[in-house]
Amino acid sequence: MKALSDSIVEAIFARAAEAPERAAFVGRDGEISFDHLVADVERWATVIARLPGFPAEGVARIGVRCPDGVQHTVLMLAVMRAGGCAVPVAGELPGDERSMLARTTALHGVLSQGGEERAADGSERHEIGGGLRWERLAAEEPCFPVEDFESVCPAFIRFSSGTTGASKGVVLSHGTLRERLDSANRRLGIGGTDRVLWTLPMAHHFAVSILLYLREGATVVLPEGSLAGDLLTAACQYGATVFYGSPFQAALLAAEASERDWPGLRLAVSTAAPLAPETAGAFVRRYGVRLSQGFGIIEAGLPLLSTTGEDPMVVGRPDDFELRLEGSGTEGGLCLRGPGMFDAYLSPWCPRQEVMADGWFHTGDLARWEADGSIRLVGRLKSVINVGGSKCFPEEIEEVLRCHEGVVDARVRGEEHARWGMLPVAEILPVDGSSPPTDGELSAHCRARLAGYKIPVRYQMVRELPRTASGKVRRV
Amino acid sequence: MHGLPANLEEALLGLVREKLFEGGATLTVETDLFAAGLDSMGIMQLMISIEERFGVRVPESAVTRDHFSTASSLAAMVRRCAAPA
Repeated sequence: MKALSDSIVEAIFARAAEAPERAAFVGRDGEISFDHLVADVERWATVIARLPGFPAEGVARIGVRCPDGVQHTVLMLAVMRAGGCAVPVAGELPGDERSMLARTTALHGVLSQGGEERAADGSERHEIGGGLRWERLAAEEPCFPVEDFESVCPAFIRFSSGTTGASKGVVLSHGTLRERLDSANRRLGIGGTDRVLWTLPMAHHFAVSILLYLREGATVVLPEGSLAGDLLTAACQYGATVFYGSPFQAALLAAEASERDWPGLRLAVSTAAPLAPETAGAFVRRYGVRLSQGFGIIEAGLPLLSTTGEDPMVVGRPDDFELRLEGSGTEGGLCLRGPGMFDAYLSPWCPRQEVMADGWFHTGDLARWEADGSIRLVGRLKSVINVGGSKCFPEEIEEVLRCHEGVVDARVRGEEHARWGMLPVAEILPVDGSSPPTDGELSAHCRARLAGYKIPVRYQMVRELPRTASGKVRRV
Repeated sequence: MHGLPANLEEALLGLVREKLFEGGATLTVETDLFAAGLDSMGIMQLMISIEERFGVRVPESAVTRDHFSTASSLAAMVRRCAAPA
């Protein structure tokens, strides 16, 4: 096996050595000490490196499709420990999206726990013990330059929520992850005495969360279920000190029926979607701790965190990140640069230096400077639809709708919603206006091809769709 | 104003099939949805769909295991949400 050198896994192992007896995980999967975690990661890394189809040379690209829990974390770390690049494959992805991900990433194989259906078409299955399956994939010719990809020392690729246009796959190297965690923890201040309540899907949140907590020697508390009652029970039973979750979960916690307190809570962060003022208010009234609004994007980590919590749309003042607004006014597109920026987009391949050709990463958020030097988010410039923290693009939904036999063309937009942020709604140009496809047919068609939150909540039949001069459907 | 359908249980089961579980032909109104894989993302989708389809607001305080465990218990909750306070 390769040397650990500058690996993010080495950084976690070094921290583990300082307090080997301390719990890395408590809760649903039992108590796992840091010592035990390291041993498990080493054991699985050895198994993974010997799997049929694991390349002897270069960087293996390995999918991990595993429910949230200790095993998910162990597998992700073990892939990286074995010198591979880990690609989370979210459980909610239907077959088409999974196959697309496997193809785009040219995965060598997928490690799966549970689920009978294949992680990708045409895989060769091996049971490898521990309830796990290795699905070896036919080595496809990658559509990205492998040499360039491997030169960045890739550790992790994430697809689920890019920031611009369509999901491109964000590549993060070991060095980037280390810088990113250091930077984010300057704001979060998580340490070895913290116990962090886990609430988010691991396939979508892993770097500035699980990796950060373990690297800082903190303990991750895994609740039995995802309902507010489950979260609060685990928080109290295991003395959780940190909540890091979505506005939806914060709202559920604030409204939880038992009226129990959360005495150990010292830091509460809401991330992934804009926080409604009512939620921020209800949360502080219930638990006596202000919800901080985090501004997290996969390309940059957690560059901003508002600690005052007075106005939930204010995401804080820059410290180790530099910020700039496009244009000359006090309001414009938010651009940033700082430590731990992503290394490249995978597909189409585009290294960070090219993405940030002008020296800045353009986030696609519309922002304003406040008088005190903090940043307020005021809207989006790009087409991304953020459904309560889960992001999707109108283009991918339209493409699926256009494949329905009763649809000529479609336009999807995010409709503003007070509670969820945005919901996808579709305009449909039907083949036959006198008997257009029903809502149920269109939803079922989408469900087979898209994750559930991407299914439009409403379909409106139209006689025509406005187009640009070049004939493309005009965005709203 | 949206009215609730007479067979709300079946309508909710239809929503679960349509939005949450690909296929889902074996589900009944008494199937334990958590055992079938309902997670927090699924709960959010169900709340969105219920609000869109039936025009009722599901308050956060109603998001409990009892209410979300079956299509049948969901129906009881939706009826309460729709009833004038």
